[in-house]
Amino acid sequence: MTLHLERVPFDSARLPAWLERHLVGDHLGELIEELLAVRPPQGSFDFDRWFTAFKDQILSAGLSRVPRKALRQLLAHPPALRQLQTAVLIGGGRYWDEVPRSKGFHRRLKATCQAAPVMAAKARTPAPPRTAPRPLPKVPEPVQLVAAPPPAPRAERGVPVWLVVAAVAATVAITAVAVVALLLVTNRGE
Amino acid sequence: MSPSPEADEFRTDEELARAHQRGDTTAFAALVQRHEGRLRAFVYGNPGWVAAGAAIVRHVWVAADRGIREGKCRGPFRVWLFKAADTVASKHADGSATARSAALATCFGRLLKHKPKWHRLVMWVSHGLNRTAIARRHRTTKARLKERYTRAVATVRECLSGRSDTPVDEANRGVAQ
Repeated sequence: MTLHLERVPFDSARLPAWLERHLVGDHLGELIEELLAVRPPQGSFDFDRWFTAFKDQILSAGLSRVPRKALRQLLAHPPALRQLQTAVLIGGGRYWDEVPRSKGFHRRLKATCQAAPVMAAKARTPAPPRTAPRPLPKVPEPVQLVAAPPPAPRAERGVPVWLVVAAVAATVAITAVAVVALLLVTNRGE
Repeated sequence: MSPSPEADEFRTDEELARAHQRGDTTAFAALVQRHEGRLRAFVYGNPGWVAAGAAIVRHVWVAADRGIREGKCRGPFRVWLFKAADTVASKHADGSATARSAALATCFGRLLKHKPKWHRLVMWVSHGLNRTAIARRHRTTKARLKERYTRAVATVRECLSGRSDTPVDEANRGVAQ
């Protein structure tokens, strides 16, 4: 496991350059972890106030002109290093682009620069379906709804009752007349 | 036709973003080239994001591509990009202490317990205290002090890599306090 504290410059004149490399490199988070493990910050630290005093110098010309005592305050309050980094990365001028980085940083940077546009383009296109498109479920043919026919008029439905009764009555009457006539003829013949 | 990479150098971030919206294929690559270094430093500068750093960087660029095309990029591009990183990181990094920070706390804790003077030396040096003053306080020379510091930190590194169970094992064989 790499320990960045192993590389702390013993000559305090080299401390600003060492810190600058960490601020623009990709190991500041790990350095902060190490500093916090050595000793948690004691008391509070007003970063905004600290930064206001050196803002212009830092953004345009780095940490070389910041007094050692002020840099020590930062190292004793590691989360402030993150605040300083954010300020420098957002507002820092050309000076900060020219701070030397490690070979490993450049290698990783090159890899991402090549991959990022490709990944973005890939994310843009919709993913192809994994298997053949599933057939859509069969929808039954729409049933044509027809209105029920209106009830037929009563006359069409059958012979009216009164007509049946009249026919039966007539039949009975004719039969009775025929029977009576037949009896009379029979009696005369005897 | 897309402008050459040399021409991209002279275009502002906003111009490149607009070109990307219009479908200029090189504009987005130019934005990545320009800001990837600072974005990378920003992501890996947060101790809670380091473990998921690669995924965060990847997703930030995908989100940036989408955001630019949808016209959501407002204000300075770099500020907007870092805000996107914040949003992406909140989904991909849990922000909790990593295994590394837990191991560091254990190893420095052991150093403090078994070799408090070495621990104090590491603390002073890592906090940028004046080396001459430290050497005077330790009643030694700067060269000797550097040797002690190197041994103390190497002991912690060995503890971290699991080669030494406690820093004191190495420390007891090493230089006298």
